[in-house]
Amino acid sequence: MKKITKKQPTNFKKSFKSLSFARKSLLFIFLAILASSILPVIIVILIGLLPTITILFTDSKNSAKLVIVGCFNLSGLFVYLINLIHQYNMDSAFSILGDVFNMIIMLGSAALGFLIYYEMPNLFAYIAQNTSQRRLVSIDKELEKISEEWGNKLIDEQINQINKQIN
Amino acid sequence: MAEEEIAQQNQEEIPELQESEKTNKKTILLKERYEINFNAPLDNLNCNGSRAYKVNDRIDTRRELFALVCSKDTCPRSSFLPYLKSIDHPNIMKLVEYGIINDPIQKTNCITLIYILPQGGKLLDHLEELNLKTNPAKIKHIMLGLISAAEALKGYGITHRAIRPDNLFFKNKDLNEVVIGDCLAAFPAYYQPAAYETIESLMAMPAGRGNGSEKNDIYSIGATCLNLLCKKDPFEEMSVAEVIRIKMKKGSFAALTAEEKISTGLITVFKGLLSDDSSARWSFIQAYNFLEGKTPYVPSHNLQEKLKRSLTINGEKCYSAKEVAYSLFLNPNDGWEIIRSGKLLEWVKNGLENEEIYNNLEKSISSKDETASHDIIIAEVCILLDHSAPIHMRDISVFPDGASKAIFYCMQHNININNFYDLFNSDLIRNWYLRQPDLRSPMNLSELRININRKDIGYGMERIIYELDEDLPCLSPLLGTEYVNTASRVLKALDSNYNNIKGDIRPYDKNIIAYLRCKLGKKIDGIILDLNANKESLHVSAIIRLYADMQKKYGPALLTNLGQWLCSISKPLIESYHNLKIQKKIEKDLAKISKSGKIIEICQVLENPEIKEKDIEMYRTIKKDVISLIAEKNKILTQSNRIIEEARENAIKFASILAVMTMIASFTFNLMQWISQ
Repeated sequence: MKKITKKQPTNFKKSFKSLSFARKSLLFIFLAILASSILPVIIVILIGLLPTITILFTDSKNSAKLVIVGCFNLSGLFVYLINLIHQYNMDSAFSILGDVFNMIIMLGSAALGFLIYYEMPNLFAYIAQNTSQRRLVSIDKELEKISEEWGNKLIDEQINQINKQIN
Repeated sequence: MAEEEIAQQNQEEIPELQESEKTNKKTILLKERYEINFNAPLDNLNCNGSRAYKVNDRIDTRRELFALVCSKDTCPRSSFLPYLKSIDHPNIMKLVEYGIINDPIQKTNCITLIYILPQGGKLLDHLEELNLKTNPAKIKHIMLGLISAAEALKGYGITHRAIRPDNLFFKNKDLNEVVIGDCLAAFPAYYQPAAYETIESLMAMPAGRGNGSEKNDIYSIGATCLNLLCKKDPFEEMSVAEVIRIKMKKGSFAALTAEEKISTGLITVFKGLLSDDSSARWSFIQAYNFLEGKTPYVPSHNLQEKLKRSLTINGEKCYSAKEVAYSLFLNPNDGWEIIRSGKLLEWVKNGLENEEIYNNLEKSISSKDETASHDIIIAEVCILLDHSAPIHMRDISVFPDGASKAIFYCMQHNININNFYDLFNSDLIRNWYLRQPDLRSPMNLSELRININRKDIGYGMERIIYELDEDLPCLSPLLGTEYVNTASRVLKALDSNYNNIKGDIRPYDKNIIAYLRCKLGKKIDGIILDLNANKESLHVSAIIRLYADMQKKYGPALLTNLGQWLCSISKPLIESYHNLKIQKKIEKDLAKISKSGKIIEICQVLENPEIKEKDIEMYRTIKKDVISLIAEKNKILTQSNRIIEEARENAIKFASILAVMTMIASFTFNLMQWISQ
């Protein structure tokens, strides 16, 4: 079998240096045009996704947290991104960001994500514990019923046998 | 010997009992026909440890009968009773009936024999009248009658072993025909005085003399007739050991005549009948020939020729191999010294001059290592020197066919039987039979040895004695005063004795199971296996199955006490059912039928295969359920942290999915709204 070798990352600096001046100029012009054309979106995204970007930098290994907070953050952001496309200019972008209510929606959705991330496990743990307790009670009742008909000996024997196996 | 003392005591006890019986006016009915009148003892007819009483025949009232109520100590030879009953011989006292009755005097069940009363009374009572010394024809007539009777018995495989003057009667008042009295009421030759037994038979303990052969009866006939002729017993006040010594030194004929003059015409016959060498002793035909006037072969010497060289054992000079063997037995310490020093071998070679015995002795002694028991070596030497003698080992001396009765006797009187264990564990019995020219071992000795050494129920010495001797009744204390000589009587005896049983005792013991194994054979081996299992419930189940089968086969139809007894011990069997409801139901059913007296019904309730199968099947299912429930409970209790951790992990997964779904929903909703605008 052929050994799969990891491709070495292309040396960006080297390749950039190897480009001719004209090419470099063209690249700059293209990037400048691109930046100026999507700048309103970028501004809204950068501000709107601030909680997610923070997580990306502070807790990048916690993928679950990133996904939950990120997705909720995005769902709050989509409302304004669609509005922005509708009236695509820098003014619209700034007016969106300038409205506190909009900021509450965008950042609040991220906060909801945080809330779910931190509280959902506790809720689940509580439910699981409760279910276990109820199951224990029902097992004891069943065993009691069996012992009434078959005697304690059967249950004791089985407990001893299981204990032996464990030991 | 202790045994002889007990035998004497038994004989002495009888008159006392008869005195006490005068106060109890009782009549016992045997087989719905024979009324045994315990108020009319016939002391004159007491015989072989049994007591005689007058009998009234309800059907034929003219017939004069008497009953012999046998002793339990020396139980009757019951296996021969049907044969004796069928014999109708002019010189054998006619056995009319036999059966088991409840003896009101000894307050125990015992075998009773009904004989026709000899009208002429005891021969000894008419001795003066007969004047046999001057009437040789009469003594010949008596002798002929006795020989004819012994021969008739031999035809049925019976040896009489109780031929002696006080057991001879005249059939009729005309004093013509002599009849021999009872021979089956006790162990063979147990009550025989020393004068009427051969030297070899006297060497054996009374209970261990065995059935012997017709040669023993021929000797007894000779001794009896000689005694009648001389009108006295020369050994009356002598111990058995003294009689043996005298008979060995002088020879039986010379010892019995005791310088009494015997008519020359009769000397030949007495010498022939009383020969101490059993191979030279006359047979029935030789005796008939003589009595008919022919001249038969006469043994040249009754006593073995005295050797010039003697062997001194314990200060006593022994001239014959028989004497040496007997002295070795009596003086084991000196005997061992003589064997070890080689004096015995030297004497056999140069004194006895018997090459065969010398070679056998040398081979036997040299094959034994230093650890071998001296007693067993002495016993083997005794067999090689005198194979006609009983097996002598330590303080026991028995013929192999009498060993079982000797053990039975010892067990009954709480005498230690360890020596018998050693006897059966050695090769002495096998070696004894190997030396017998006309006898073969009737038992599988290797199997017997295995059985004797097993401590399990149904094995051991009890098994051996019942296996070797079918006359012996079951010795179990659980049977009380009942006389159990057949398997069918076991249940009845247990039923009768239930009220005397105190405490939590099961209705079986080693004795009963060993006895039933011998009587019922291999088919109860499975039961014995269960009785030796570790489970108590199996023991109860096995005994109930066994007794149910026996009741079905032998009856009786009602065994109320035994039924209750079995129910009382059935708890472990009931508890072997797993379901408590089934247990309660069985207990309820058992309470209903416990007094019905039908063990089969009890067995059916306790051992219902359908219920058993259902219980097992249900138990299997419930067991699986219990295992899974306990495992689940264990898991919950021991892995609660893990469960919570799992719940948390699941919560994160759920939240992630929820977040993605929310994002998609928001995107789709806004996109739709934008498109619609």
